[in-house]
Amino acid sequence: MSLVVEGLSVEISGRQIVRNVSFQVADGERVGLIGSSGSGKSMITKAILGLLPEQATVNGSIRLFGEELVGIGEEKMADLRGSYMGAIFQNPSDSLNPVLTVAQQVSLPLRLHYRLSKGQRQQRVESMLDEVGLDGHVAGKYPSQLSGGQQQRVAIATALVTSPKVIIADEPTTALDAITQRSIIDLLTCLVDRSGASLLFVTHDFAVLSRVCQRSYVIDHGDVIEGGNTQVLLQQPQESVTKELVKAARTLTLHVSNHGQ
Amino acid sequence: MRYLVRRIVLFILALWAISILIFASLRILPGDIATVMAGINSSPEQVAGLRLRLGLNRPLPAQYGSWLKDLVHGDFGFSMLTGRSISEQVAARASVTFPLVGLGIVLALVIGLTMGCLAVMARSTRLRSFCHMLALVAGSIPVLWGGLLLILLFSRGTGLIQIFPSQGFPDTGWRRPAEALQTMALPAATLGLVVGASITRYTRSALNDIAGSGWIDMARSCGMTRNQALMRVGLRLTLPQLVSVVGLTFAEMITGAMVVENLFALPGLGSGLITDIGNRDLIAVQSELFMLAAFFLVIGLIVDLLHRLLDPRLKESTVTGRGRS
Amino acid sequence: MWSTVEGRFALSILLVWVFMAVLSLVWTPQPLWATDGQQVWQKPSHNHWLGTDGTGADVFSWLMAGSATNLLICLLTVACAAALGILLIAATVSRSALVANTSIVLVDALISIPTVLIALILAVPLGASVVVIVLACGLGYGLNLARVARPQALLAARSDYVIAAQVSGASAGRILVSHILPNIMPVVAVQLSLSAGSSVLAESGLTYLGVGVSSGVPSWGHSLATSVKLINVYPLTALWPGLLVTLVVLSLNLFGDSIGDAIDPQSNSALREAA
Repeated sequence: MSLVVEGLSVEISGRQIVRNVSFQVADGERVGLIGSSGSGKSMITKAILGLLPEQATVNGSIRLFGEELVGIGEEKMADLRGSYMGAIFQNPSDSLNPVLTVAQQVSLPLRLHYRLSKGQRQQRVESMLDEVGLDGHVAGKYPSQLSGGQQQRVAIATALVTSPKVIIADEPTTALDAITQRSIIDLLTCLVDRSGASLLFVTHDFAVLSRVCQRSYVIDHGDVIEGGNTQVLLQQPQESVTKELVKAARTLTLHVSNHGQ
Repeated sequence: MRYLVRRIVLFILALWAISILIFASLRILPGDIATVMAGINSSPEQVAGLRLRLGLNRPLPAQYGSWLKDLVHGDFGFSMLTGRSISEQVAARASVTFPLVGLGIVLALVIGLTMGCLAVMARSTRLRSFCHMLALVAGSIPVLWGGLLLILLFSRGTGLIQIFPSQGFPDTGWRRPAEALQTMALPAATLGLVVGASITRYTRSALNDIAGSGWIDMARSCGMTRNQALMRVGLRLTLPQLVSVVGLTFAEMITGAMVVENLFALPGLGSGLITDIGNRDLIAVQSELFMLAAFFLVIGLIVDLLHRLLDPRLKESTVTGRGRS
Repeated sequence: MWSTVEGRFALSILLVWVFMAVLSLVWTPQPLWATDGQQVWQKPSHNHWLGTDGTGADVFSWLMAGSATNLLICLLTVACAAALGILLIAATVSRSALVANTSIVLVDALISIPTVLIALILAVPLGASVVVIVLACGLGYGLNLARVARPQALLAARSDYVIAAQVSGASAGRILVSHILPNIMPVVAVQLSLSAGSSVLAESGLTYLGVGVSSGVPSWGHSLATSVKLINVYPLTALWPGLLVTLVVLSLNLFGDSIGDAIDPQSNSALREAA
């Protein structure tokens, strides 16, 4: 198992944000977490990455390839982030460092974890940019000079440049338009599969989820209320929250396809 | 670019408006300016002579016009009291004030950045709140009283630990740097502590705000620890605002500098200006006020342009003012 | 606000301040001008709670009377700053691009003029007076308020609510009052209480420089300045006015922070992320 979460609870300033959540991600598997906004799904990814605010208290267990992550301290977490775990966030314009060029941004995990020569690093960055479908001339640009889709490609390149074994994507397509969304999703799944990594994909949109993940968990008010094969969830939702999410995805997808014609 | 042009045009307009304000405030004095300047014991002939010499018998617009013309040519006139040229007098005083303010700012930055970072990054939460409280208290101390406390603690003569002189500036000036620097120690420390407190508070609140941002999460997800990310990304991203704050602090610091110069009897721009006002040396006051205002307008201009230069997003400037963001 | 230690501390001090200021108008422990040449530089005693100064005047009574002057300066300064600041913000969110841009750049240009310089310019014709402090600080803090509240004001002005209100024909004044001001209220409240603190500090500085409160009128700045002159002889008399000013300014700053937390729970970054 790449990632095992057991009985995870998160509390911030007296508020219980995540309650007793358990799920697993197998090697090379793409697993989804779905829930409406405020359901606590983002906090689960933050707990795994060790990015929770300092006031948060975490209980339960998170194991990455058998190693316990809860309570190991910021230094050790930092060693894992960017080498064993890569992360992609919702809004690239809020996460890509505005004062770094694309090349500097993508090479950051390499510089933090590996002693490479400048040439080796440059070579790796160039091939990574090529893999995410960005031209070489983008390398010297700043994020503000790129489109939203291009920015998210840079973020994907940054997350994957060290070939981490687990990728955590928190609503990576929500800030994008429908067409860009599709190309980014396809790029992400393709690159993750090619590198053999596992993917934990967080979204509120069943339409996106069904395209990415074999298996999914539905989160509501910090609880896992339902889980299983994505297609089964989509066709036979049991819980009312799941039904709502499925319905929302159907109407949206219909709306989008009508709009497209 | 459009901002630059507009900003420079406004800079010139502001300079002009200030010159009118200064001129007007000195001319609406109750009574005749020449009588005021000549003093109580002067004969009517002396007053008339003074009026003629200064061109005070001409209509106000003409007086203003010739003053403005002289200013543009860099001619600031002569002091009535000492007879020295005002630019010379100002230069002599600036050789005290500029090092004082410069030392003060450097000290304030060192204290402010260190304490501000500690208040956000220190491992123990106790140390964090201690730094915060210390900055809050130090920022509430009047400069005058702060200087006083330092005198009581460290001055030769009255202090508990008698190391630094508390009065005056050596006549030899900067030709004997060690002596001059010694007299600067307590005044600069006063300024540095008080201003450092406000920089601490600003740095703390800016870093706290950015600590929860996506940029810090992103840097950490690449492999930095929280503190590494705050130092390498957080500080850089708050730099534009920090520059603005330091610029504004600089403007506020002049009040402190004037008080400190008076308290420690340093012959600087501030105490000089106060003396000139007291002596009714109005031609000197007029030019000195204008030079100081112009200086701060230039500082403001530089700070604004630097802010824009440092912010590659070139968004609407989210400038933060003094103190809290 | 009462829920935190800091809030309780700040509120108590401020209430005592207001109470003392009002009380001093009708009663002080010793009459202000009852100076006794025999009783200069007295130590604190039953008659003179904080001792006497070099003229034999009662230090506590003068500080108490000063609290009224300082409260007046504080309130007037805040009122001036609020009026100017809100006027400038109204101009910033004006629909006329010329007015908006001019006000933005004007604030940027003028904000770098130190308040002490304005005070000196005003003091030449007006002489030392409360008016000089109020006008100079009101101008400076008003500009600062306009600058600090600008981002939020612009954000509010571009929000869907305001655009909808504009489309439905609401007047600019109505939009300002019902949509923009409520949105910037937290920033304005915090900034104004910080300005109140700064005005107390400014009073002591300007009065010491001879351009603040005119001599003969009791104020904390005067008490401080008087004691400074004889610091070498009687260091302890300088303790009280300085301590008092520090306490009051600290309270005003803490008060501002708690207002910020009370009005705007979003400033708690942990909760903001969790929301």
